[in-house]
Amino acid sequence: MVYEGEHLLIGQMGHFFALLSFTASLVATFSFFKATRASNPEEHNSWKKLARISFFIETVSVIVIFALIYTIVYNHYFEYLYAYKHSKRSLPVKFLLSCIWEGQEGSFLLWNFWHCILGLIVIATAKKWEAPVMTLVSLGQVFLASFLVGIYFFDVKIGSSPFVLVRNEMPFASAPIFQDPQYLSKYWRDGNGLNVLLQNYWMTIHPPVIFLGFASTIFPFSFAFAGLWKKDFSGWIRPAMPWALFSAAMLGIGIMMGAAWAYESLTFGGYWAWDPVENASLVPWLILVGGIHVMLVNQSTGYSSKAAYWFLFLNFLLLLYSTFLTRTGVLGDTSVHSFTGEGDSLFWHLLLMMGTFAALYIIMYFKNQKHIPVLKKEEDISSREFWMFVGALVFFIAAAYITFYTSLPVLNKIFGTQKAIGEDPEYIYNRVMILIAVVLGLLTAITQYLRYKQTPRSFWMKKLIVPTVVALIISVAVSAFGGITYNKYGIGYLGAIHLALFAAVYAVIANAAYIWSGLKGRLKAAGGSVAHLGFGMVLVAILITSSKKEIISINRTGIIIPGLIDPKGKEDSGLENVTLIQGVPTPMGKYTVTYQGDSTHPGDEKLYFRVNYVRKDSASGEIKEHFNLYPDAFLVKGEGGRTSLSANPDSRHYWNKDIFTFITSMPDPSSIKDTASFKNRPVKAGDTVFYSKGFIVVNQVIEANKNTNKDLPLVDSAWLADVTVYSSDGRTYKASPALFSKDQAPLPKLDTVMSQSLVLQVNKTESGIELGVKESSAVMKYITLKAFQFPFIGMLWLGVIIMTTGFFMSAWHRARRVRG
Amino acid sequence: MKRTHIIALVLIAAAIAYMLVTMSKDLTTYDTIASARQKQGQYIHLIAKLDRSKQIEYNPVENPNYLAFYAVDSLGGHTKVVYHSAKPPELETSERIVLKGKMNGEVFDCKEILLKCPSKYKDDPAHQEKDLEHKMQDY
Repeated sequence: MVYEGEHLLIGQMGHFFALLSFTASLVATFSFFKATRASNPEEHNSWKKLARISFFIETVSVIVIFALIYTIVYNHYFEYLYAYKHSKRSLPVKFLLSCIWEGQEGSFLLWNFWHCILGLIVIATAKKWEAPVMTLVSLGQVFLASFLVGIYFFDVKIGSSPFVLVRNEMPFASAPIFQDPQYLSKYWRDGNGLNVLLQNYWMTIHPPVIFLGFASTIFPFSFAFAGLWKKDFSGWIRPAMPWALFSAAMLGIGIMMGAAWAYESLTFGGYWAWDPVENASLVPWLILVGGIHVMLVNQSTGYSSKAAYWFLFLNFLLLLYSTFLTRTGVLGDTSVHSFTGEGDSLFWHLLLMMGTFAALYIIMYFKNQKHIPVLKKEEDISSREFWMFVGALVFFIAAAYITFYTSLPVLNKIFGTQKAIGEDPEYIYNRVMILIAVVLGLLTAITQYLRYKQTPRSFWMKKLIVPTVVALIISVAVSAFGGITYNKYGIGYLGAIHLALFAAVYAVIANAAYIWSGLKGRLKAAGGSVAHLGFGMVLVAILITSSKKEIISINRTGIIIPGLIDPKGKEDSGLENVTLIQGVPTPMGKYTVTYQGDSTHPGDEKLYFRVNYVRKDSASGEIKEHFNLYPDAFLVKGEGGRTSLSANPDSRHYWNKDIFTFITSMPDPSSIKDTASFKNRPVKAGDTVFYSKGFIVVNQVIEANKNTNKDLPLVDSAWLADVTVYSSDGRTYKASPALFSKDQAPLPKLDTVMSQSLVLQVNKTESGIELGVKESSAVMKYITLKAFQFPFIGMLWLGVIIMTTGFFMSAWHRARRVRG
Repeated sequence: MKRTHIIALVLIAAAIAYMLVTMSKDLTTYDTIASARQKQGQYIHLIAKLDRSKQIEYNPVENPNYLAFYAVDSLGGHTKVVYHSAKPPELETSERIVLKGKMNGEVFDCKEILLKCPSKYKDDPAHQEKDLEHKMQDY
């Protein structure tokens, strides 16, 4: 059968280039391998030439594949499963890239793409390290390319191709509509669309950055491997260092962009939740930062020679493991946002990749272990290297702890157990991480002031005294006046928070001072100190945001749930949602909050809620601050016509805090049916009409027509009832329903009292007017929301930027030294 | 042995010891509704489904922090669940729910709800076929 309107050429090209990239990476691996082993320069050069050509072909293939996928998505070729699954016509162009990242194939492609770009840089700059390093990188490419081929090899499906057609895939293939040659124009005109959570600008930029971080980790790893292979046990560190620093920078900023996305578009109320997906990306970063310090020690002193190999190995392996955790579905029930896996084939595929690299590395290591130079003399306890090693070790322990709890589902699988993380996962992580923060903060502050080999006591005492005193003053001031009273977990934990706060402030001050006193302001060499300063700021910000995060939407109904304790250690109502009825100002913390209405915008699927915040001075009643927040939500059409809500928060930013609000519930617009009817009663001024929750007093009835009132605009005559509603809870409301008439046609103007579910109308009768009263729950518009106050969240983002800048400065500085 | 090695060993040993000591407190188990009834007041994870034959009780106007519904599990267990927060929007469409909390008499007092929803195309071929039939009938 010939189907109409399909664009099959693109798919065929796609399959071809996917296979080409796979084949080319195989050839590149083999050729780089031969080039590394070649003993005479001529042989070496000819293999290297072949390898470079293959690598170049691979790079081109990957770019072409990318362009083809984009073409499919951009042009809405829904005959392709990828376009059907991840995009739809109404999606704004700015999110089309996110459609590509949403799919697993697109993510691996992105990873592969960055491998290629970084590989080209190695080819251009690494000189004698090129061949051995690129052997491993190309082997990585073989695996990454194989994720995209989607071919069967003896009944085993290898990878999954982004170029498959819907009509060839189950369960679609069996559907009768694909028997129709014109299915595309008749039935198959739109796709499923992009997950609404991903329709956020961070999701356009976060995946490319985090995958650049992912892709870069193989480079320091490969340099370490190359060092073993070429038996140059210390020479590899110098060229590997810029790569390690670059990798740490990209991973770090990628993770924090993910955090920013979570903060802005997810509704767990924060930037970090110790979710397995977050943990899995944090762990390689921790290991890598430890690794960088160990490499520095080795480069400067010759100590920690073996540790450097292990840190870089673990970094890469744990990175693959994190992909394994998040993409194969093994996390299952434990994660809010683990990606739906490709199932078994990816499971084994990734295990094979991890196994291959681990086996190669471990064999290479133990073959050469006895040749690795080891210094017999002990590190002096006053030396910089000693404390740097301790710091690296602390990073390792932090990573191990997080990995253990994140891996519970894997352990369950292996041991057949049914274990899960307990009641308070955040605390399980935080109570250990706070100690880690204390140690790391102190080490970050002090270690730079130490010298390699040995530090005379007078030397560091003299230089450290000023920053120490300054840090003490600042942190004591913050502790004393900052109102950090988080004693949900008792006094010990609160003490640890204050201690960590001192350590973090100390890290900031000491490193700022070091740039000035230790380096005399030579910024070129200050990358390390700048990164440390940023790291210190991140620690300070994490401590303050977490311990002073305040729920403003706490429900003060007086209901106490036994056993719940709030952050201040008092019994907590635990009720964090407040319902706002449209137009009714509701007190919430220091604010009076009013839900004023909602609106949509053309070309935007979201519904925006206008929530007005006012803070008045309690004594004078003067308005201190007022602003509107626009939390929004996607209304997702679900099963059976039900609409569910996917909310995004909105924040008001101040220099020292954010007011953060999101919708947790609203009436389902599809379920609202107005079944109530008006009850009409003849009234005149002074009459009272009762309704279920109170009564209505008619203050006056105004009648006007063109002849008696020249100002009456546009209508011929009008009847208006000015009424006051007295509800049984003591509130009063003004309302003025009216009836107009123009050219003999009645134009009713209803009035509503939202919080009383009242709709009022006016009818004209022979003798006067009637007041119509309808009590309908359908008129009541409300939203339920949560609101938080995050202090000093801006410092977190600033700290991350400074830290990343420091990494880049250092990477740049060291890369120039390698080349120069 | 070098000093760094000793520190390394001590730190790692301390970490392992710490984990072993705290493990029993920090870890909990996945349970069925029947086994959860035996563990009154203990924090556990339930894997269950929404009982669609019963009403979901949630009235945000009266109390936005009270949700009650019934859950069933694959072994036929049946329990009322109370959750003191807003109703997760996808509750009705969820195909599986992980409930974290404590059994309190006959009622499961839930602190956290994780929903597994059928994504539109990936998980549920049967549902997908139904969808396709609809597509045909629409024209």
